[in-house]
Amino acid sequence: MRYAALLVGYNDPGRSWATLSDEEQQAEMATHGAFAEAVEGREGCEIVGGEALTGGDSATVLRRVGGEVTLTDGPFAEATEGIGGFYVLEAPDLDVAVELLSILSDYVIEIRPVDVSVG
Amino acid sequence: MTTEASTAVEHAWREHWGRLLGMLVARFRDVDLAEDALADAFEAATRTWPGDGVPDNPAAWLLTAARRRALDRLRGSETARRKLPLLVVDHLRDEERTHAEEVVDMALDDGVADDELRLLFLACHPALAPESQAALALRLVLGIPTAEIARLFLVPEPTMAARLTRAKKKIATAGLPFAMPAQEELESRVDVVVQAIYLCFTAGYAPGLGDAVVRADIAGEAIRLGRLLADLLSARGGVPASVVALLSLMLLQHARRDARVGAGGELVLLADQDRTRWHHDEIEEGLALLASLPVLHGRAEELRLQAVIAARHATAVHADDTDWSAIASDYLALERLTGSPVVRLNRAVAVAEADGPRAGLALLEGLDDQLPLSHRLPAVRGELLARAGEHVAAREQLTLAIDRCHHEPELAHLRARLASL
Repeated sequence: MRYAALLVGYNDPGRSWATLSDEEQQAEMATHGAFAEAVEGREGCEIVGGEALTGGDSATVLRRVGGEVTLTDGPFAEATEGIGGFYVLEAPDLDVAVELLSILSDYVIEIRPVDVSVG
Repeated sequence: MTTEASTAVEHAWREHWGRLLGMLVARFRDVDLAEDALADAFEAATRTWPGDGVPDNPAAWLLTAARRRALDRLRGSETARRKLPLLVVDHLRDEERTHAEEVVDMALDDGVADDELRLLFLACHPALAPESQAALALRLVLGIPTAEIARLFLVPEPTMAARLTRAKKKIATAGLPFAMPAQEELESRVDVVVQAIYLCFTAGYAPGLGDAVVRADIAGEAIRLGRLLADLLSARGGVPASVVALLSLMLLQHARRDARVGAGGELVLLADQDRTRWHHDEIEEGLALLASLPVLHGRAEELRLQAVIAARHATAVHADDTDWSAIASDYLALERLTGSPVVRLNRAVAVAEADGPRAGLALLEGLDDQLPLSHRLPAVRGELLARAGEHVAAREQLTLAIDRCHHEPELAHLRARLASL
């Protein structure tokens, strides 16, 4: 199974990357290192892709209105701080994916299977 | 159909559905395929058993028929076949070669009980919504048809069908495993199953709408699931305390079912129940389970404390013998654990019985904000006011309770009480 894991926010809603101390930022990054290591050591699991994303301020939404491409400034979901990053993870089942992604303890994570019938 | 054959089919359905479905899901890794194949097998049984006679081993007959049906479907479906990875196709050939031998070994196979347990864990996976977990457990493990589950949960059949379809689709697309949870996850996963079963049970024991006092059928099915969970875990080495507490609570409460309903279908309050109509064998079983439990923590302790309270009622020979002070203390412990306003309300009733209506009334203060729509709060307050001699205020509260209540038997009781003042 291939899953997209969307890091949709922090568990602590008051937290933001920009206001973390250097030590706190390093500790958060260390969880990503631990996650990568755990995935590597697990049979049938692989990080297929993933990126950190810049803030919602730099987002642009493209949509078609009456056949015309229109752009709007800002992230699609205004109400939330937006997706901070994502992984594409190969894992045998949801339980294994949950176990591994739990290592990223700071984040609220939406896990979605990749739709393999497309593309 | 001959009576013997139809009884045999029904018996096989009740006894073997979950076990057979577990084996089929283990084999084919596809819940829909396994369910359809097993339903086909039972359908074939209702057609052929009356003429051919009931087979010596009905479960093995059904398993063979279901496997053959599943293989036919897999082979016949070109699109499915194209999508099947090579491994699965190989697996199918193995399957055809070996299934005959496996059927013979079925009864001796320790793994079979585990397949049934895996099925229960799959139905109650925490990635599924709680109301889906309970319905799916009834459907997959007990083999209860969708229409019947809809009736048990008091929802329209299309609603329940959509709920089950959505849950089964998520099982397939999200990759929920058909596997025993990891050892360190086992306790929390058992607790999810316990909560799903308890949800089933309360749906029958305290119906909120309609005209039934107790819907013993769904409560009884919840107990079946609870017993099955206990048996399957016991076969693996131990039954967690939360499961024992759940079973004890369900048995002790359910033992009163017949006495809760009067001759005219009306609600009979605990104090007025004919205690000889309680199922004393079930009470004994519930008490024995409860006695085996130490003090627990968290949700398991909530269930245990509720069982303790049910046990105090169950062991009082007459309503007058009820140890209300002890029950008030139990509710206090439960309130500290849960912070629930409903528990506070129950505690007020117990305190009123032990120390008089005014002591109970004092505990109701401040609950209105937390239970703004409850009919039970004004019902209890009205009753306690009446006992304290304040009939005008009591009438006001009982009228409010009648406005809010949508459950016929309780309404009848409230109207009668109002008329008596």
